[in-house]
Amino acid sequence: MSYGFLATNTNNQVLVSSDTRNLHFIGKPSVNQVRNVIDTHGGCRIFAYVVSSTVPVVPFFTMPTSDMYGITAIRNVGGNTWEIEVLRSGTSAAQPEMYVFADPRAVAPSGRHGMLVYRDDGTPSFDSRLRPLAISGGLLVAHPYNPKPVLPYGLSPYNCETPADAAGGAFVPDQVNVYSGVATPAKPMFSFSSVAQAQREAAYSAFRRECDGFDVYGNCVGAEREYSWTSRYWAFYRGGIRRLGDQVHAGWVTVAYGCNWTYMKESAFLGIGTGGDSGYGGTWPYSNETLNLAASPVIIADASRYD
Amino acid sequence: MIKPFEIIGTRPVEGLGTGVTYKVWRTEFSKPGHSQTLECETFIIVPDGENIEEYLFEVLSKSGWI
Repeated sequence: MSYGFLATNTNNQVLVSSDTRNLHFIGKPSVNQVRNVIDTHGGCRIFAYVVSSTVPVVPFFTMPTSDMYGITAIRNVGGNTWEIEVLRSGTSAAQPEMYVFADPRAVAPSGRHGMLVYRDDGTPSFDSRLRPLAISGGLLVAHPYNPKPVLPYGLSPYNCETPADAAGGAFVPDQVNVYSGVATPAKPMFSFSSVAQAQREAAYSAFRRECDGFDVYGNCVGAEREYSWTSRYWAFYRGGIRRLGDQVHAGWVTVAYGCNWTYMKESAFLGIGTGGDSGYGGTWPYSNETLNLAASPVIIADASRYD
Repeated sequence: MIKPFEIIGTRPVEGLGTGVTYKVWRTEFSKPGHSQTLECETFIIVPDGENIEEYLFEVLSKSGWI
């Protein structure tokens, strides 16, 4: 550029430029709504925040517990109103603090002292009155492929009768990738979007054969009945991160679960069928699949600068 | 090896091994002419370099199916 303003650091990286826009602090909204409450399967909460901005926002969240966290949505819900959703595993009442940033067009500053840089279109690029975002660190994280490697024997095949708190234990995600030596400030806040997704399922079946007569080499001479039950338990997961000291863990959060069951009975007398037929086939769209496992960025900053 | 399991399908899982969808079953007899078979169909990743059937057998033995 032949005019304007440019500030770089000793590594020649741009700090402030009239050709770009810096992110600035625009607000710290409280939780507006708690959604997707799950108390089994490892627990889940989704916290929704609402903020006003004329331009897209970039949220950061704190992690007050050792649960998994991640941003699951940033959406414009009409006009200048934006809704941000943060996912958390576990069942505690703790809520992440939300710090929202945007470029300086988002809010009107107050005060008359500081430094203001304009772009060539006359809109602000940097405004020291608005508390610019200062990044303190970051890393790339990838999630393990399988949230739950082995599903145990013991879920009921009969009409999905294993209750959620018992079936949930079988599906609690327990796999993490660990990243060590991550330096964080005294009050760290994180920007991390939950992109990775996974689905896991297991079908438990029972087949019962009853012969009221003589069973001759597997053939029933008399009244015969065959019953079959199948219960397909499933869980859907989204990726999250948690901080433990100087480690960041990338793991999973259960965001939905359920079970589908079928039952069939067939009868015969003296080898002559007296009723019953069934069939099944085809493929499910996503069955035991994991999606979007490419490494995702985690950006770290000091939340105490904006309190 | 006694194999009360059936491999339904496999697919490669890049960097990890082979994803295996399989079925395992066990049959119990309550009285003559009356039997019940319990079956589970699910998914596991077998690491690269492992024999799929041997790996499955070991996992299923530890989990109580075999």
